[in-house]
Amino acid sequence: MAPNTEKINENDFLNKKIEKMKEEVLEESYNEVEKSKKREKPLFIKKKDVAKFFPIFGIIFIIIAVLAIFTINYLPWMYIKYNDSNLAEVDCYFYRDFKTKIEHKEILDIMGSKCDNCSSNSQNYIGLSPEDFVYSPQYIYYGFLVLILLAIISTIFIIINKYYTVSIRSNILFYSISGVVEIIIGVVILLLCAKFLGANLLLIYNKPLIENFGLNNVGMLTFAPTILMIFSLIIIKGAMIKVDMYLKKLEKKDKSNKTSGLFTTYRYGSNL
Amino acid sequence: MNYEINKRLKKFCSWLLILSVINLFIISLTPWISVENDSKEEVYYNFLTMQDSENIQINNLANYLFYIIILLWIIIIISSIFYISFSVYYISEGYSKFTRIMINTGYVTITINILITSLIINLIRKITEMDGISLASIYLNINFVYIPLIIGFLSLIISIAYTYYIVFNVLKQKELLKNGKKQTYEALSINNSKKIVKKELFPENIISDFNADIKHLKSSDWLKSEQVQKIGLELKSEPDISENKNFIKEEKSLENGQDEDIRFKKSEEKIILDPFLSEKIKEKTKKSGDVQISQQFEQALSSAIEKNQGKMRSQIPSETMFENQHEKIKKITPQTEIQNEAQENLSNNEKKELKKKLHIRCPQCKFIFQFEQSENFTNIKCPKCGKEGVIKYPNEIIKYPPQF
Repeated sequence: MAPNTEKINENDFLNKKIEKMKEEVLEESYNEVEKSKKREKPLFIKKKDVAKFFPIFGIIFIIIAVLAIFTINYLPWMYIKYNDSNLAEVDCYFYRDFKTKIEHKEILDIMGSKCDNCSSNSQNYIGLSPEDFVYSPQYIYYGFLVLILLAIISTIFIIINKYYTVSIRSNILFYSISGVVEIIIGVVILLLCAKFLGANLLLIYNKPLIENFGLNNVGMLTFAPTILMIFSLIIIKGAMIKVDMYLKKLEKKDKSNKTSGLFTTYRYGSNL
Repeated sequence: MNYEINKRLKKFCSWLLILSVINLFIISLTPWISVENDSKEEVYYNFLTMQDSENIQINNLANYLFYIIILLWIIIIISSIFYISFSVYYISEGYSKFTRIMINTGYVTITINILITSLIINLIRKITEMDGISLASIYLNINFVYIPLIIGFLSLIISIAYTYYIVFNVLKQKELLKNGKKQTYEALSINNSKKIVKKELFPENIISDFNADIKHLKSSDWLKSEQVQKIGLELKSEPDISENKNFIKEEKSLENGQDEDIRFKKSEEKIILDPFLSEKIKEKTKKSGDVQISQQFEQALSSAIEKNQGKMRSQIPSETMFENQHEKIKKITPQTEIQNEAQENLSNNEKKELKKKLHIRCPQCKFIFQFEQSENFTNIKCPKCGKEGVIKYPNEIIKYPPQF
């Protein structure tokens, strides 16, 4: 019995040894396979593509913002036309000197001006107060300044990309976050300008009442806000395209990987 | 989540964003109410004039609009964040968390849209109930108020569609994972690739008969041995899988009992029923591309070994074989040599296998036919229905993140 048990023990020992060796070999092969998998990085966008595409957006946004700041400062915010003693007059007002240069009190009256000497404050008929002409352009101005800053930062980011290795992950994160900020700024500017356009509409509807104040044949054009609205719409659309771009690139990569195309794919290896 | 789903969700999100912006724009643009003056003239009010008004009733109505504007801003922020997060999704790792957040935000947008529409309806009802105040109308007596109401309804529908689409896809994928979990997902996932590699190099049958063949432990000898050569010959011809299946079935039932047998049967049925896996599982298989070959290779190995099993078992190890065991183990050739030779052998076998006849099922008419193939991608045509296609080998590895 003794030699048999010894044999069995020896056999077990040998088996264990062999198993261990096999395990080691397998571990090594497994590690190699894993390493090879790690080396094959996912097919994200190449850095060259990023560098090619994004400065265009930065430049476009900077140009738009500069043009917008120019329109805020140097284009008239309101043209108002009325008949004064049977003579048609057209006044144009810039946002800085809106309060000081208004000659006709009637114009201030239709905007709901608040005077201390009056028995009752006049009603706001067009949904715009003189303060709106002062503060809203300022807010819009700051919004465009932020846009310029973002555009400059993005261009600097691209320059850094060329000299230092910045991961695509951080690239995508940066451009998507900046895209969202741009969208929100665009919406804010659009809504700030919307009330100027709304004033036009309300002036048309309340025209018979306004004529009672002595402003005959009154007409208004908010010139700068309409241009700024167009700019804001371009910014929103541009930001959306910017965010979309990476996804489209990924889709293209994905489609190129799939060999199917027009054909259907037959799968090999089914146990039939 | 694949690109098509992502694209559609992104469309929904962008539409939500656009509609809420339009709604905000219209709220601040259009006149909402018309009030009769003392001189019985109608004065039109928009949101800003309503806020400035000294009339308390009109101020209350303006408060309604203020709440609507706040809710619309919340939707804008949520949708704009989600608009970008679809691209961020591809670089993020917490897929399950992302889907949960998406579902929850879907519910949030639905509730906000319901609130907005209900607030607008309440506003209309209140205005119509008031004396001297009426809804401002455009030409042909169409009220301005109905434009934001219609847009609100549209955004509500889109938010419902958005959440339904997410939930539907998540449930669908869960089912797919449940169905194909045992046979495909688990077996072919990267986590289990360790086991697969082990099986590729040392199938179970070889390991069991390793002791019997201990004399040929030197890698060069072992690889030139009868076992391996037989395996090579077996691979040249078409592998008889039906026999192998029976053999594996018997072996499994003997080793692991009835439960294993039942499990194996079920998995086998699934394979036969649905050899063309769903998209999700296909992607998984693509990831671990050479797994399919390894399975077949294993089956071929098992069949070859089974034929020679009688002979192998008859070879009882002699007493002298276990003498000076430590020395013998030391004499074994280095591990890298074994590994390289085994891998070479495997690759050669794979090449041989690719040249053999394949059984292919047409995805359209389900007709099974044989096909001889040597290259990786060639166009094939179904002899029955004439459906054209491309044969796809599992060698192709496609890299993109796993689906939720």
